[in-house]
Amino acid sequence: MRIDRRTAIAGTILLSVSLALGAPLAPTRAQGKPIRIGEINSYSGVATVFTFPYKEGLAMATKEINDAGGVLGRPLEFIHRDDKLKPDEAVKAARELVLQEKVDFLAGCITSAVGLAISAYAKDAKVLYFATHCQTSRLTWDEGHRYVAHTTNNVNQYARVVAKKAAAFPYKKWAHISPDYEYGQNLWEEFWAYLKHLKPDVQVVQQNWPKLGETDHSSYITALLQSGAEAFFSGLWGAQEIAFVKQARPFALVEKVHYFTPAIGTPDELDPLGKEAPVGAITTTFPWYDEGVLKRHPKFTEWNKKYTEWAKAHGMKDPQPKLGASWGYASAYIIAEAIKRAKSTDTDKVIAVLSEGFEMEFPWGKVIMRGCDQQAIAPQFGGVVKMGKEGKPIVADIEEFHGKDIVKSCDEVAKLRAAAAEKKK
Amino acid sequence: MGRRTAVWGIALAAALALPLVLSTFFIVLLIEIAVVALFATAFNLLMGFGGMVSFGHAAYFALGAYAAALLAQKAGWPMLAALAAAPLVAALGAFVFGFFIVRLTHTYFAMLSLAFGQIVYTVIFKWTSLTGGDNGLLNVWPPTFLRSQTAYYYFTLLIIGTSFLGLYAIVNSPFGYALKAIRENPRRARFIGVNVRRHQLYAFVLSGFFSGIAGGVFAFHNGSVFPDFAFFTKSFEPLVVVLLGGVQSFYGPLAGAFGFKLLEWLISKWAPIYWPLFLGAIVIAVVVLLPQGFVGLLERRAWRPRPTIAK
Repeated sequence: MRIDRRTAIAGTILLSVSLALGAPLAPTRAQGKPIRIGEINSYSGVATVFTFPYKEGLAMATKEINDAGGVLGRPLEFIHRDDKLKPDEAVKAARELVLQEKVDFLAGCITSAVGLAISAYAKDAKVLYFATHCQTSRLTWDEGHRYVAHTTNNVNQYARVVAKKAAAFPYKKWAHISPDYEYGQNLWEEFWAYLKHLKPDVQVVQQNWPKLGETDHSSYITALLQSGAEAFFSGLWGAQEIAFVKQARPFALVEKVHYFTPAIGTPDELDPLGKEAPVGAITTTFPWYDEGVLKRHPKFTEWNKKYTEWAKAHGMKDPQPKLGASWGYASAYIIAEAIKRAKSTDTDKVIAVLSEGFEMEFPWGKVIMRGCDQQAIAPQFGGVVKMGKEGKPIVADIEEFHGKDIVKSCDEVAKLRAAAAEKKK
Repeated sequence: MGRRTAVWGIALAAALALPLVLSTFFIVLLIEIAVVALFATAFNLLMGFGGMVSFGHAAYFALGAYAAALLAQKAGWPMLAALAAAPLVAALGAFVFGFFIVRLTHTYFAMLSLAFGQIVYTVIFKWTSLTGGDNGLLNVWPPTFLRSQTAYYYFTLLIIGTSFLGLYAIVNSPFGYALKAIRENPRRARFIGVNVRRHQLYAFVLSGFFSGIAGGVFAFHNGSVFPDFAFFTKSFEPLVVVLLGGVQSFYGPLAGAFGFKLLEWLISKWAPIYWPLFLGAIVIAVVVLLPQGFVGLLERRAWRPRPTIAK
């Protein structure tokens, strides 16, 4: 008897809750309603040095776009979800955003595994996905399809900048340390293939594969010291790389073995390091402070000021411009531009625009959205870490590249896709 | 008896009718709730009925999920065959690990189960050529006739409903009572002729078996599997679900799964960045204020007060 009543109550509650939740779901979409974009990114853990500024950049661009009348007369709206760096959380969030929030498009990602997982979901659900932050080249190349577009550069572009710089040094014996997941594997592959291409006599003496998010690197640091390598490449990023550099200091690793890494020079990582920055490291950056770059790009200074004010107003601890901020900013504008050109939020029409390709001017240079792979080809800045005024580290001797001069061509991409399709059979 | 049949009839009718009134998203959520409910109920066979707290139970969920995904994707098995193999692989894993784990008690039991769980995780994570490592295995989809969420919902309902009946029968069988006897007093149980360790191992294997079913069903629902399915944080999911729902009731995990998934969804919607804080606070509140979980709440409001079961 007791069980009967309990079950009865439980059943009634279950039913009424389900009905109550289900009731207000009849879709209504009037004109002038926001264009909704489901944005999934890591807003907790090692990624936040990039993603918090990214979110501010995205919000700032969205405000500018909406103040200027929106897109097709409708405001742009981003709905955020935290993927906790995990692809399964991201897939769950993507599904919720598409089915429940009825978003028009998906966007976001900082880890490459997340990007690939959302991309696979997007392809299946026939929703257009703008990858904004993760960098694996497989996203738009080997695993590319019409439902994914990449609004920031991929690994290939910035690994090649570091490889070009590395080729100018006499080092032959190389080691590396890269996080053991999609981005780390892809980055190392791209870097090494290009360095080998530029300088065929280089050899790998040691490989280190810590886990993404690993906090203790001491065993890898001693291994690197004993490897006999003249230089090493690091594919670490975010708080993990910051921790690695701090732990390597007592061993003077960076002084003994020359350090090459794409990520450390970004203000997102360099600013938090301060006086502990690895002076002498060869890296890439977002050079908002570099006089030469500012002279070549006259609109850059004004953007920096605008962003700093925006970030201050929003209580950011460190309101100075960051790479993440520029990517969020650019992503919002690229998405808006694609919809504007399509004159519609219809997925197929926006894809048609993307597959033709277009170009946009940003304060830091021209970004090409390439049609053949829907991949952004962006400006790249490489240099060496130095200590600036007042103990604030900067990247100096900046050399400017453009993605279009180094990135794999459309023909090469077609070959990669064909090879990947062949492998799947 | 008539009343009881009526209640179950209504519940079944409601479960069958829900997809007709709910949007696709809630059908997806219901599938996830069903999966979590089965996983937590399987876990509760150990914790609530056997008195054994496993900290590595995600391993058996992951073994089921990966077995199903790998057999379907790499060996080209049809979905139903791959799904049938999932609980067997999980049960085999539970047998091998359980053989060692049930030799220990309390903290040692928990820690060894955690260790075996992490071994499974590490193997999945590191064996990139087979498991795809951190990228997981993508595009694990069911055949066309189950592709719609509604079809998959009914399919899930069938499999998970059957599993629930199986678990209910186990809990109320002589074996189930022996298990409760062991929970209450292992030494006394031994004196009355119960082979304690063997019963505990059986419970472990059965729990692994049903966790494997949950994993397999989830793999095809999610369309992808990831190493995190085996990570120890995933092992705490059934623990939290059981604590929310009520430890000593068979229906506790079911109620807990509803509560947990709905809370998780609502909170991550309202507080996309600080959601763990809120969820954590609610879990603490429930555990402190409702020692018997949601089911305890129902009982407290019932017409007759009921003494709590002393453990």
